[in-house]
Amino acid sequence: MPWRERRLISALFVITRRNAVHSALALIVTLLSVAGLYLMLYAPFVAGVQIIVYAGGIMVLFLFVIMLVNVERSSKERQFNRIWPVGLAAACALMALFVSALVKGRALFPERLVKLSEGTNTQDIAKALYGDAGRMGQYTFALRSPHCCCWWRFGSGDYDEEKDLKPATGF
Amino acid sequence: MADITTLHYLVVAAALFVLGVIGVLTRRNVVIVLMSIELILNAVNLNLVAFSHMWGNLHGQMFAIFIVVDAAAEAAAGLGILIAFFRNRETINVDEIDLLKW
Repeated sequence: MPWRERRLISALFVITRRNAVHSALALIVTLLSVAGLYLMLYAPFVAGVQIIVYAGGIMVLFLFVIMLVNVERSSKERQFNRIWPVGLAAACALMALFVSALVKGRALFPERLVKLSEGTNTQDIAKALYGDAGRMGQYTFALRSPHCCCWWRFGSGDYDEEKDLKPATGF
Repeated sequence: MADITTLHYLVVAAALFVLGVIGVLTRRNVVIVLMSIELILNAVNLNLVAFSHMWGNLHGQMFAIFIVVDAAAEAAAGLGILIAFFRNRETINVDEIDLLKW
């Protein structure tokens, strides 16, 4: 499966490159392949949000900061800590713990219980965020799209056909 | 090739998480440490969306969107702190940012 290996290889590049710009570009590749993985998991809206916000906003911010902060001097110094074997050993122990816990409990993760629908994913997320997530969803995403605001206003179904849905006339 | 079950996604998310942890613990450049933190957040997001796919409801995806928004704010705040520090000290090595030591 191409997405999996590419993501792990590019994540490895993120943490090992000497030049910070190379690390940022490798992180962009990682984020784009994670977005592809979201598409495989029937989550197109989260994939779109990931590409726009993460790869298009946060990584551009990182690149600007790398440009402002001096890169040449720091790329000539020593890259890794003095106690990097300890960190590596601790992280490998953590990975062993994760893998053993996941493999031992693999009966808890069945393949797919209920099928998610992909075509109406954005509408379903809007309905869930503005309806089920309560006040936190509404206040966080109040400035989103008019579509989401329409769900907020009309989602519960108590609108008057005559008054609310006809276009305004008589300006 | 075998079926791609939820377990595969979880193992990949765990591997991403551990790579991010290695980056945070090992690198001396503060910008790369912040990028490793973004890797960790992405691993958690992948976990959430994989579970959302497994259960068939949208709770995991909703939480994942919240986490993306939160990561954007935190990256902006962290990089602002970094730039403010760099203006004073001219260094971005974690080993040399030790103002609070004796």
